Amino acid sequence: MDIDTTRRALVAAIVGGGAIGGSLSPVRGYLNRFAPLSGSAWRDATDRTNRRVQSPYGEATVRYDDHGTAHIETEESGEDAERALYFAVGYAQAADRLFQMDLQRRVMAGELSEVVGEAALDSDEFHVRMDFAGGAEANLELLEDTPTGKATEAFAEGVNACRDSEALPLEFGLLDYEPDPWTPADTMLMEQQISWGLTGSFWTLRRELLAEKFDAETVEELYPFRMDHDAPIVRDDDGDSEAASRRTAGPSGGFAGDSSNLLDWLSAFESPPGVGSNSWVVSGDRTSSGSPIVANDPHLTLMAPPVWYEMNLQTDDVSVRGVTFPGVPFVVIGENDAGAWGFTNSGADVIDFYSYETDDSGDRYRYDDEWRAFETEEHTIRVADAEDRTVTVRKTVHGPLLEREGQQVGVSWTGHTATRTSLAIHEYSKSGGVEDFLDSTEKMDLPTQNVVYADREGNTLYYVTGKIPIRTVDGEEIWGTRVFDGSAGEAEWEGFEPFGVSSWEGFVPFEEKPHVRNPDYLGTANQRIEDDPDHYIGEQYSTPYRGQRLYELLDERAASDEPMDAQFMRRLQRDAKSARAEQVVGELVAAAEGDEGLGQAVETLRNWDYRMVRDSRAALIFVRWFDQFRRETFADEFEKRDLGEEYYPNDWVLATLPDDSRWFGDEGREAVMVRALRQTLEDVDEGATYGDYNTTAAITHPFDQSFLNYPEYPTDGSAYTLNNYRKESAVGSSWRMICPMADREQSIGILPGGNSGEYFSDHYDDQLRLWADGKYKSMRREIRGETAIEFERDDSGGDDR
Amino acid sequence: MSEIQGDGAAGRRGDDGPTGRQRDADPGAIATALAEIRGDARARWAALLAGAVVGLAVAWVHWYGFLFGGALVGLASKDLKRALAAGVGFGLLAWGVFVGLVATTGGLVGVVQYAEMGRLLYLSAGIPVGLSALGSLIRGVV
Repeated sequence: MDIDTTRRALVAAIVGGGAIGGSLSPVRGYLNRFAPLSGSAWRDATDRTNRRVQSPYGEATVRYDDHGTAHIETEESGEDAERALYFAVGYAQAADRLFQMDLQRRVMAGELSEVVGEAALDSDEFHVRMDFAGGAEANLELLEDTPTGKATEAFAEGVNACRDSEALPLEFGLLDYEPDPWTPADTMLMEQQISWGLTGSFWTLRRELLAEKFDAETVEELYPFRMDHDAPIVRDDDGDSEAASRRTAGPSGGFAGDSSNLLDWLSAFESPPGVGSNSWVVSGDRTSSGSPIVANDPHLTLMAPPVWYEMNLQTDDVSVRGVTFPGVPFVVIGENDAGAWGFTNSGADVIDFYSYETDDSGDRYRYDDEWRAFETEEHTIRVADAEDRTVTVRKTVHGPLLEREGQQVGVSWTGHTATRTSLAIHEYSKSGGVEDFLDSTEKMDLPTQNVVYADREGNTLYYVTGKIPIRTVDGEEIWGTRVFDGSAGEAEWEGFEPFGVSSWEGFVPFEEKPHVRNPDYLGTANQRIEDDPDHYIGEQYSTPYRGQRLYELLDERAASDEPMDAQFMRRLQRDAKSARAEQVVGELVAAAEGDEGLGQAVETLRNWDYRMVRDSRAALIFVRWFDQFRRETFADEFEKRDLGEEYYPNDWVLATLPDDSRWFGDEGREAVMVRALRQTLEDVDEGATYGDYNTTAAITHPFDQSFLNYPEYPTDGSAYTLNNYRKESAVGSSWRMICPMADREQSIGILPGGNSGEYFSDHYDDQLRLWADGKYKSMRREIRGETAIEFERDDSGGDDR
Repeated sequence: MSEIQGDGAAGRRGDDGPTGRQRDADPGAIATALAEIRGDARARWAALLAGAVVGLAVAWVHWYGFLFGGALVGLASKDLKRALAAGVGFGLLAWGVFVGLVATTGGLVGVVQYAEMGRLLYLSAGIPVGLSALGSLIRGVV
């Protein structure tokens, strides 16, 4: 009896203990999230999207084609048509990308720590101090009562209808939280994110730091204001390049002291290295059809799911297909009835930095003849599983103040004022030809981009978008390449109102920005825009390798008897020949010729056609060798000065350093090249090819969960080829699009992944292999696919909602 | 949860043996009913089925359902070993239902995606089996 009682007690204790243990954290958290059937992580895996949804704005349908592209149409008319459409767009985007949307707005608003914990505090502090949310609010006020504002509201309502009625994506279960309702301000925050990602650069501060670490001559040698090449975007042959270079601004020294901590912190939040793009437009005079062709492939961060969301939208008045950023209602890059357009980053400098004289308390700064208190606000950052953090956000007349460990710098960025970018992008969808498109482009205040456009009438266009500040000191225009004296009001932007509405008086007039109307053909690859622009545009242009190759191919074709066609455009986008390799490999081969143990590598490189393709061993040796060559050249001197690899000069500078440059030490350039090759061959596996190294494995999901990452496929291309893929930083062609304007030809596009961010969807990664293999899918604007969601008019809501 | 604890409390007065071991002086109605169910094959199978259905219904809204379902099928079993087997069986059934649901919603792609989830796959299979087995141990008390 005693034994029996003890046994029963033991069993009862096990059962009861297990049940109680499961009810307590953290086990409870796991059970709540991962238990099948009820677990929050599985909601999306076991719930179908609703087929019928009430919309306050009227009927619309969402269909998905074979590649998961959302085809959305409404037969409503007038103002309601747009709102019915964008309500459905909001619903579809949320159904496919809600977690991505929420994550991005949290990053930009500085609310990431609230769900992921202390690891995101640095990021949150940066985004809170920069007050991107304030910029977004300013935008929203400007859009109030405009058709764009109303469409944005309808979009937000659509997102929230989905959030309320559909199962939440897996990631919300993994992180164990639910998203707040979407607001129009969140859409504006997405615009801030895109703009910051394309124009946010702390290079000016780096230049100041480098000036402290090296002498002026070295800085000029390693970081030239202008790279010596002859493939700018706009090619004219006057060759006068002196006027612009006279106005450069050397370091101020006004940003003295140990700024490395501040810079280390900031460098994590600027535009990632390699962000750029290719685009070109070819007039009908050059094509087989007689109509223009537009091609574009923006090189942005590659991730799962992709940065772009593809959609095909149709009302009685508008038919537009292309890609947008999740959270943004309107097609950003794409094609409509009248024409097609694409963007590349222009590299314009739309951010300046200011130092201030402060009083002893540090609460006030001098501005002209008076002391002003910093505009101050206490901001609490919520932190999951840790104490909340309070940040004192300070601003000056110029904009936010960035501070860390005693260092501070004021920032003016064009994104910190109200911009009409959403308006312009919205109008693009409805534009009826080149004149309409130009009118809208004038309203695109940010980001600064190279836009190429062609319409079905045969017009072509290139224009630089975005407001570009003019800096003047003593009445003379000056480059924005140093920290200015904020207390003296030096070089400040006239007509700029941070967190308000700007008049833009002191900015480059639209007509004076670089542009070409009806170019015969024109290619952009983030290289220098013009040799001698009327005003300073920027100086941080990409190395010219892609630009050179693009013009080489376009020029060759133009000079031949063969017209250009969509097939030729595909070849351009897939072109993997490296102008960087072409520039230095001959020299490397000559230097290594005859050296013991290098014969095979020399032979491999000698017979190489400079194409960064998967089955090439030479491509693998070259890419690894160049990294090693760079390190061998700069590592010692830079490490001595506590400067990391991010401070190394660009590869064009390295490739063009003279043989006897001091950076190669006493042994000289050729010896360093050979030493680097020996080291490389030790590290490269026998028989390995570029495809073993250059794979899609770098394209990952923000979570540390391997199953969410994309599959690993070998692919072609490199940082310096038109077929652009930077395996090291997961940046590359984030969307490839070719749009012939001839009716009989078909537009094509491809995403590096899938259109759906839902892990369990058929379309989570279904385009990845096509993308890796340089293939495309149709971009026809005909509405296709089975109806997935039908929106019915809900008369109880409407405008009052 | 309280139901399980209530059953457990009632069970302490009952008997776990299939052979009609000496019972307490005043056996409760539940214990009597359990003994009858355990003794009659048809009733036992009906009770197992009903326990599984009820357990699944609860598991649909909360993971307690696995514990509860495991306890119900365990209580209907003839002895502790069989109870444990029934508990594990119920857990596997519940997991199978879940996989079926994933397949119904996401098709073959959905199932493949699910199979590639690593730790989450193991967790989602282990939770129903583990909890149901744990629940079935109640048979050792009642």
